[in-house]
Formats: sequence, structure tokens, C-alpha cells
Amino acid sequence: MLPDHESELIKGAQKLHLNRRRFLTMGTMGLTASLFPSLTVAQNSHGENKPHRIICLDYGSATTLIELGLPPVGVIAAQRWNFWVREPKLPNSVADIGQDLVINLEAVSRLKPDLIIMTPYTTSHKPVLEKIAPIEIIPLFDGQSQPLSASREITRKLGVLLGMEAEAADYLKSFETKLAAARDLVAKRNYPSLTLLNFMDARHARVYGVNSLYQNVMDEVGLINAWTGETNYWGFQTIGLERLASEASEDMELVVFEPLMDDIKPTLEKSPLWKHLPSVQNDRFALLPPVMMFGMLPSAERFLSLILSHLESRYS
Amino acid sequence: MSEIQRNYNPALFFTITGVALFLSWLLMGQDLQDILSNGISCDEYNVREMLVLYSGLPRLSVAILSGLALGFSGAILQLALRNPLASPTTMGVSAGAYLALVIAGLFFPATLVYGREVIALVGAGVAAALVFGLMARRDFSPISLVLTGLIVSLYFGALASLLVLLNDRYLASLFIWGAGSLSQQSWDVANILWPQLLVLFGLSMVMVRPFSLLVLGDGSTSSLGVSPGMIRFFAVSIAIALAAFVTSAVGVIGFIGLVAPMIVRLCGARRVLSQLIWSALIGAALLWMTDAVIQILAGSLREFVPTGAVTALLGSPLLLFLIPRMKFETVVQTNEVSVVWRQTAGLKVLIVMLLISIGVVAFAVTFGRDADLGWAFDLSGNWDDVYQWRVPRVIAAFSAGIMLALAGMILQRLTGNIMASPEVLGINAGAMMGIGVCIYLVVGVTPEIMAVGALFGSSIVLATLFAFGKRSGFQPERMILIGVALGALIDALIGALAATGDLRSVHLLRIMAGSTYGVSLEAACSALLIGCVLMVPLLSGSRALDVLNLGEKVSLALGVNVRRSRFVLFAVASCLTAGATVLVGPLSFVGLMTPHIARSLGLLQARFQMVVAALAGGSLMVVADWIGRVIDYPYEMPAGLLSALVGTPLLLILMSRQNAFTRSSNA
Repeated sequence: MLPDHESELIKGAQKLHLNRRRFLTMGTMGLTASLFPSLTVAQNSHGENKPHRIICLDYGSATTLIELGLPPVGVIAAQRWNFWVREPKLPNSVADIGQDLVINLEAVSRLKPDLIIMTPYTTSHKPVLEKIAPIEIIPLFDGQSQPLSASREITRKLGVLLGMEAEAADYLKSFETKLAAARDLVAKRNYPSLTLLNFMDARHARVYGVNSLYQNVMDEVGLINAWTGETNYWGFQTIGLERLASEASEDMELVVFEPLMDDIKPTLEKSPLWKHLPSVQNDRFALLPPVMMFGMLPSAERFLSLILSHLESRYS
Repeated sequence: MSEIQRNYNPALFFTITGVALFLSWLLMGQDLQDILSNGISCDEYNVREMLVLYSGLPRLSVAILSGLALGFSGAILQLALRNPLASPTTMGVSAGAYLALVIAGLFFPATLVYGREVIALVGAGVAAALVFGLMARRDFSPISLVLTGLIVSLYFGALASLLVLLNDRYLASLFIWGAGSLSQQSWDVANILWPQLLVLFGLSMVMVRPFSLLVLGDGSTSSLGVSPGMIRFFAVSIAIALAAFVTSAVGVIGFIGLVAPMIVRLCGARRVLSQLIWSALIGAALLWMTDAVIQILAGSLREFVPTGAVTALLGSPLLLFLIPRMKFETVVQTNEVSVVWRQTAGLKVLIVMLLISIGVVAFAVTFGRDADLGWAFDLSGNWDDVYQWRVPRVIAAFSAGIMLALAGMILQRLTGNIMASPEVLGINAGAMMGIGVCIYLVVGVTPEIMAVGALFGSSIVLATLFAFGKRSGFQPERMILIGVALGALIDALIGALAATGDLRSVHLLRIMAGSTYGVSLEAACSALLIGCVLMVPLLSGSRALDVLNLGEKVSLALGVNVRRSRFVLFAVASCLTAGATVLVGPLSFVGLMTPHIARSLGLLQARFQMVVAALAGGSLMVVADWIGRVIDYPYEMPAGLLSALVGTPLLLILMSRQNAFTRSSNA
């Protein structure tokens, strides 16, 4: 094991002077390796021909790579990471490559990636990006499979692709363990049904249901989604608040995820329809930090832990 | 004759109101009955009751109030300006208010504490001043006024959507609002709106008498001791304020202000007061009915389909219907500018322009940002990492500039109209529609599919233009007005699509913003080729261009087949526009600017003017594209938007100059 490891380090050191960004990346990887001994294997089992400079065109795959211990070298809209994703933290080494539909090709090209991961949403980039590096389109929100099962499958596949089968398996295992623990907890408690919202403006919100990552997670742990209405391809429906009032069940818990624009709260506080919602009147309403709603397992995990700790604080 | 004519407005008003009442009863009747019979239950949360009290009834009230204000505003504008096509929508007033609110909300949220109304008022005022400023020396001819207004309106609307686009997190919210959503959840909006309207209606009642005299003829007002100009200014101000308040309350509600007064006149209202009152009432009834129909048709989506976009969808075909029926004075335009600009040696200017273009292109390819976000000249010849991405974009931008400049040249020559430009034809809007359809129907669209869609869309608009235009012998003003109306229609359609909050709408908006992003080298080169090839027939037929704008009779006398030449030239211009839209989106305004630039350089002959305009257009587009690439690296600003930002002020300067010259040459 050791000689292998050393040679890897030497190779790394040789690359150091080449490029500042690369240096930073290597530094982070070294740091990760020393903090988490189990991950050192990742660096070792990482064959020469396996990709290790990866660019992600969606937040979901980026979070997964971070959890697997091989953060991407570049991700779209890194500036906005804390606004939409927040956890897991984005390492400083990760470069910003622009917006998801207008990525900066010069920036991508200079990062010298050896793999570019994208979802069906950004496949319009494929013909151009193919010139830079091999493309992997992960079937997340492809309209066929459910996001959670797709995420599991993709995580496994990424493990194979990156020569990190063991890490992927470990991560999947720890995810399933958390899911099982959550399932046990939910079975013991008598939690109310939930309505999950993102506000678009003071009058309209996205509500999540069938086809969403949230719905999948809730199904697996036994939580009940109060919103049973129709949803679109990505698992949400944009509705007016009136609609929320008419289809709200009496005892549901209303969960609003950030981001929440500054001007929404004061407007809501003046709106009779909102103020008189049973959930709001009975203080069955919570504002939780952001979770990437179109994410993968790390977002599912974050969603679950945020929801459960909120429910526990109220209904245990 | 009009004295005896019956006034059918009461009958019409009661009919529409009856239908609206019936529809509203279908929507809320049962619940209202329950409330009336049981009283308002205070303690328990009765969903249906809450919905009627805080959503249904406020929505109905806001619809009626907005309709009243817009109908009244339109009637004042049409009377004061003696222009049957004037309205808050067609004069850019609503769009101005909307843009001001967007700018305030995004960049100066602190200013919102002064009240949204104040900001909307400022925006509406600026838009109106802009339109009047542009029209001041053109005698407020009805067609020119509406043409200018609609262009300002489309331009402001586009700018507003782009600003929203650049701040993605605000996207959905402003979009819904911008498209005029009447959806309510409290009485707040209605409570803000009615006192404002009351004050304005009160003020306008004070001026009804002088205003009536003004409408009858300027001479008789002087007996009142008030100048006709003052009365007109006062009346138009009230109309603008009404539109601004409605926009600040619910967003842009298109075309009600145009349609209501028109119907009222058709139904036989003659006296000024009766026109004003019936316009307000019919406007209210119309908006109420439209909104009720939308709520019933949209079903569960009812609070979500923006009523404003739907009224625009219904209103713009009406404009299309009216245009062929309007009387147009065939203005024989002489080559106004020849009086002023001294002709210079074409070849010298051309060579200088060519050198400038080469310099611009070389600069755009080599100078940019490096990996560490610094600035650097990249002369390494690093094709793979750098030039590979810059060269196609520079070529594409250059080609798009050429195409737009040529199209603009043709249109301005053909029409003798300074406002003519490919953006105005509505063909780029058609191309956008085609792209939009592709994005909505095809999962994982490629640029090739979008290009096909764009060409499909633009040819449909082109065919429509020809169908309308053929009847009038391609009369210039009419063609452009039809183009603008088509553009407004397609804009409304895209707005309605985008307002569904679908993620695909983001995609659509980005393309609309107009970036050379992602263009392949092959596509860029073929675009350049097409641009150059299309220039050949134009150069060889430049005589027709020189002659056509001398007027139909002169052209015929000089042996140019006017109708055929016009047809060919419009077709070429449309192809050029379609090609450019695929490359840089529909908003560039390069086609508007460059012919003026060439002319101001002293080039009068179509041949030299064309080549220099093309080079200038190409260079401008390359500069816009370059700025967009480097200014916020690694994020990008679309070239189309940037060139529009530069183009409009330039255009305004050019226009005021030309108008001054026109007057002096006419005198």
C-alpha cells in the first residue's frame, strides 16, 4: 500500500508547480486524505486511467462527489452554492464555471477536466463539451425513474466510473443506515403530514409532491406528504396561496425552505389567507434552511435530517 | 350625422357585465350564498369562505378597478392625441412603469419604501417623455406615435425580463407579476388602488369642459384662458398616472386601454364625457369578463395564468385586424438627410472601416481573462483552451452584425422610416417562438434543432407579413406596424409560457437574451458565408435601393418595378433577420443603429453605405460580445442585451438630429 501511496504523492508533487489551481486541488485532496484515513484508500485505489479532474454541471452530482471524497475541480454557479445547497460545504478549491445554461467554456477548458458530469437538463452542452472531455449524462430527473432510486443508481455508477466502488458502497450503506434509523423513529412517533414549500413571491409557491426527491424520501421513511395534487416533471407544482388554503388538510405541518426573499415575509404577515391557515394559526409552520431540491443522496440526507430535527423539536 | 346615431354602449355594457356576472356566479356564487345565509364564521377556518372573501372578491374588484382605469386612460390618450391607436400599452407607458419597478426592486430595494406607485409613475413618465420626445417633430402622426410607443414598449419589456434573468433567484416572482397576474390574497391591493383612482377621476372631471373644447378644436379653448397645450399636458398626465398605478398594483395588463375606447366609439359614443365614461365602464366589464373566463378555463391553474398576458394575446390580433382598415397617408419621403450630410469619398471611409473591423476582431480574439481572473493578452496561439472558444464567437458575432446591418439598411431605405429595423419586423420574435416550441416539446434540445425551429418560426411570421403586406402593396408603415403587432403577440405568448414557472422558461429566456454562446466554428463560418452571399444581390441591385425611397411614382419612372423589388428586398431582409436571431437573439438593435452610423459618416450611395454599415455592425456586435464575455468572468452577459443598451441612446441622439434636419429641409 505504502509505496503506491508515496508514488501517488510524488506524482502529485510533480504536478504542483504546474498550476495554482491544481495545487489547491491536490492540497485539499491531501487534507481530506489525512483527516479521513478511510478515504486514503480512495487515492490509492484510484487507478491512473480513472478520471480525477471532474466538472459538474449540476449541484447534485457535485454534492455526491464531495461526499465520496473526490470533490469536482469545477461546478456551475459556485457563487450560489450557499444560497441553494449550503451542505455539504463546497471546498474552496472548486472553481466557478458560470451558469448552468451559459457555462464558461474557456474556464472549463483551462481546468483540464477528464470527465464532465451533466443531467438531461443541460444536454444542450454535450456537442461542445465533448471536445474537452468525456461526458457522463446521469439520468437524474429524466422523466423515467424516481429521483431517489436514480440517485442510488447514479452513486453506484459514479463509484465504478471513478474507481471508487468501495467508497460509493460505503456511502450508500451509511445512507441506508440513516434512512432505516429515520424509519424507526417515524414509526414510533405520530408526526403530522407535511406540506413542503419554496416561495416564489408573496402570492406563489412551489409545492413538492410526486416525482420529487422529497416525496421519495418521505415515502421511504413513512412520512406523509399532505400535498397529493399533480406535479410536473421535476416533482413540483407552482401554486397560488389560495390553492394551498383550499387543499390544505386541517392538521398538516407547513414547512417552508429557504431561500426566502426579503419582501415575502412582511407581505405574508398581512395576508388573511396566510394568517388564517390552520397551520400558521396553530404555529405549525417552520422556515428551514435551503436544501437542493433537485439534488442527490446528500440532499436527501440533509432534507431528512432537517425535517426530522424540526419534527422532533415539536412532536417528540 | 353623428347626432342622430344611437349610442349602443349601454346595451353592450350590460351585456358584457351580464356575462361577467354569470361567470363570476359560476365561480363563487354557491359560496357567496352560503356566506350570506350563514353569516361570516369567525372562529373556524372555512376554506371556501376565506377564498371568496380574500381571493375571489378582491380579484374581482381589482379586475374592475384596473379595467376602469385603463379604459379611461386609453380614452383620454386617444382623444387628447387625436390618435385612435393610442393607449397605455401602445405608448410604452405600462412597460416603462414595469421596468422602473424591476430596476428599483433589483438594484435599489431601499427606494421601494417611497411607494411602488411613485417609482411606477417615474417609469411611466420617462417612457412617455421618451415617446413624445421622439415624436415631437413628427407632428404626432397617429401611426408614427404608436410605432414608436410599441417599440419603446417592447424594448422596455425586454430589458425588464433581461434584468430579471440576470438575477435568477427573482425570476419566477417578477415574471408572474410582470405578466399582469390579478391573483389576490387580501384586500390590500384593491384598498390601495381605489383611492388613487378616485382622486384621478375627480381631477379629470374638473377638466372635462376645457378638454371637450380642446377635442373640438384648439381655437375655442383660448376663450377659457387656458392654453390648449396645458390642457393636453394635464390630460395626458392623468392618463399616464392611471396606467402607472395599475401597473404598480398588478403589472402590465395589455391592450384593455386600446380596445375599450375603440369599441365605445364604434358603438356610437360621440360626446367627450360620454366617451370617457363609457370607455372606463366597458374597460372594467371587459377585464372582468376576460378574467372570469380565464379563471374558468384555467381551472386549478387559475391563480397562475397571468390575465395581463392573455389580454395581450387577445389584443394584438385585434391590432393586426385594425391595421389594414386604417387610412394611411402615403408619405413620399425624399432623401431627407442628403440636404445635410456632405457626401464623402466612399472608398476612403470603407478602407478605414475595414481596418477598424480587423483591429476589433484581433483584439476580441486575443485579449481576455486568464485562469486567475486577471486580464491578459493571449498570444500563445493556444487553440485548445482559448482560441477554440473565442474564434467561433467572434465570427458569429461579426456575421450577426453584418446580417442585422444589411437588414436594417434595406428596411430603412425601403420605408424611408428612421425607426425601421429588423427588430421591428417581428421576425426575430417569430424565430424566438420557434425556439420556444422546441424547448418545450423536445427533451434535451440541441442548437441544431433550435435553429430549425427558429427558421420555421421566422418563416411563419414572414408569410404572415407577406399575406398582410401584399394587399397594401407592401406599404412601408403598414408593414412595420404589422411587424410590431406580431412581435407584441409573440412576446405575450412567450410571457405566458414563461409564467408557468417551468425550468424550461429559464432556458428560453437565456436564448432570448442573445448570446453567441456555444456556437460551433462550422455554424459561425456558414453564417459569415450566408451574410456575404446575401450581400451580393444587394450590391448588384443597389440602384433599386437608391431609387425606391424617392417614392413609388419616381421609382416607376426610373424603371424600377416597385412591387417586385420590395418583395425581394423584404424577403432578403427577413432571411438576414432570421439568421441573425439564431446567432444573437432578438434584441440587438444593431440593425437600427448601423445604417445611421454609415450615413453620418457621409455615405449616401446605397453601395458604400451598405458595406460600411455591415462592417460597423459586425464590429459593434464583436465588441458587445467581448464585453459580455470578460466583464463578469466566468459569468457572461449576453451580447444582444449589451448592444441594445448601447444602441438605444445612440439611436435617440441620431433621431433628434435627423428630426431637426427634416424640419429645416421641409421648411
